[in-house]
Amino acid sequence: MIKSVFGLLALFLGALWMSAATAEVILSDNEIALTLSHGPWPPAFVADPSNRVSGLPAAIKLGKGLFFNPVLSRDGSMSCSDCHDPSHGFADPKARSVGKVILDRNALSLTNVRGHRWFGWAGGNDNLWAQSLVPILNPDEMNHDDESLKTAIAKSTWIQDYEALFGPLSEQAATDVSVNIAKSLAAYQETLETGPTSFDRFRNAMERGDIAAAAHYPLAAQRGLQIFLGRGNCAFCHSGPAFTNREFHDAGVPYFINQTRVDTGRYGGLEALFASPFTLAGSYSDDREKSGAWAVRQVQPLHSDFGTFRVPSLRGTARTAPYMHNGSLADLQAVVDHYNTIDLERLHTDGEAILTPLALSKRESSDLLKFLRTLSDDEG
Amino acid sequence: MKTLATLLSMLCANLWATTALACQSEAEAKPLISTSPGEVSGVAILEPIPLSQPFGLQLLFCGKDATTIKEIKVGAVMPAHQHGMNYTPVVDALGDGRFAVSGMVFHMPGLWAVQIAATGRAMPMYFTLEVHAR
Ligand code: HEC
Ligand code: HEC
Repeated sequence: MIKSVFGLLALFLGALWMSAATAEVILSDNEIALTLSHGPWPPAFVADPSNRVSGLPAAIKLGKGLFFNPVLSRDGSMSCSDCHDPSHGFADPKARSVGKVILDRNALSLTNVRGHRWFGWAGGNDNLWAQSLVPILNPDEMNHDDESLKTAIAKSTWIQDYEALFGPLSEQAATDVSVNIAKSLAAYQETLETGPTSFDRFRNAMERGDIAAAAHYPLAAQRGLQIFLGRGNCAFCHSGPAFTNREFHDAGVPYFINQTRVDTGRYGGLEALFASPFTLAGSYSDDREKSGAWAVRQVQPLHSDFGTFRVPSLRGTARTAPYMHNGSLADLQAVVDHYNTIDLERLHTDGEAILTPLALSKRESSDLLKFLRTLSDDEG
Repeated sequence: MKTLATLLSMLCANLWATTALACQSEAEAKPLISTSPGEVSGVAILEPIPLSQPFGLQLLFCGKDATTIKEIKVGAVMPAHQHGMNYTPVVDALGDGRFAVSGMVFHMPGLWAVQIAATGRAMPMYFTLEVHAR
């Protein structure tokens, strides 16, 4: 008698536990399949073939030292880390970064930067070392030229590390020195990466078919994920493990810099790219195969490039407010509100029929926000 | 004279049959939808398509005029919202009506219509192929 009551109880509890566990992954099979496409994370390290010092510990060390050192600015007033603050996800808390003047754009986070195909909001470069050269030589930022940079390195405490890696400085053309410096900076930035988050644990558990483990992912975040994959159409552009398709779109953010100037976005980015001697198709690339050069060779300028910007990754994004190319949205709530009430009149390109005002309820907005935050909880 | 003509036509028919056969015997091939009248048919041999990454495909044309195709142009759009590709694919002629296409990038999930224009001796011929990217 007692035994059978216990048996019944165990069965009952078992059933209860099972239904609780299964009830707690609310995604459909299709949603699960879509979720799996946002991982695994992080991606394996692959050395950049265009950068012969990519992945070398000595280059990472030199690059890190230079990144935090004002020697890269002509008057010694600024370092990379002034605008790419490690305590702010390697982004800038200022809406528009301040160099010698207020720049036009918000500083992009440098975490997970090695995964991109195009660099900068407008994709003016096709590789990380070329992009790293831009602030050093920009008169509005660090204001060096090749000669002044070479002299500054020669006089700095970094000269030994530099020569150990790249050979005698005095025998090198100044432009080659600049490119070498940029390649060591790139080697360091390739190590900046966000870790696995609660979203990744959820995704990996589902991949293993471990529903019980997956059910630890909060229901609100699951509902938010459903909106992200479904009604929100977010995954059209924020796709793949890094939550970006690496290309350029118009997300309805105004592109006026002031009353007389507009930010042309990808249009200007392509102009810069085609004028650059530092692309993967050029002679500064260390890759004999020129394996990444297909993109710069085949990219097709489009009428609709005007005012489009690179789709940002959403990993670690909770740490990098404010948002959008001009830093115009103060926090993630403001971004969700933006998509919720998006002004279709502002979509200046023809084709972005993907974005429509979502009209999410309060609870749905909060669910979407909770989901977005689960892409940034890797640092506890 | 007459025999020569028959021989020639037999030979041609034979050739045609073998190329037509090539189209059918191609494993994993997807037929192209022809949007222009003619006797040329085509198939696409697809690699798996990774979203937002470059991929390639092969096109094989079969039929009487297939080997006269000298040049093909390839593009793709998403019919749902008219997004096109951001890259111009590169086409290499491999001979015998076979072409290798590389540098295609589908940067958004959903249905893509690949559009192919084939030009040879006669009028250009148009084909489409529908593919899902996810
Ligand atoms: C004065 C502020 C400032 C300084 C100093 C600065 N940056 Fe930036 N950085 C920015 C801004 C703003 C952007 C976005 C630029 C754009 O898209 O046009 C950016 C973008 C980048 C990007 C592109 C990231 C991506 O996801 O494509 C890289 C890489 C980068 N910076 C590296 C560096 C390095 C290396 C240094 C030091 C040599 C440096 N930055 C110094 C403001 C700064
Ligand atoms: C049509 C493509 C597209 C769709 C769809 C889309 N986004 Fe975006 N998203 C972008 C682009 C492009 C930007 C940058 C826009 C700019 O700076 O002008 C962006 C920016 C963001 C940012 C700011 C990131 C940062 O670091 O500044 C967040 C967060 C974001 N999107 C979330 C979402 C969510 C949530 C959805 C769905 C409701 C969504 N996006 C739908 C293209 C898209």
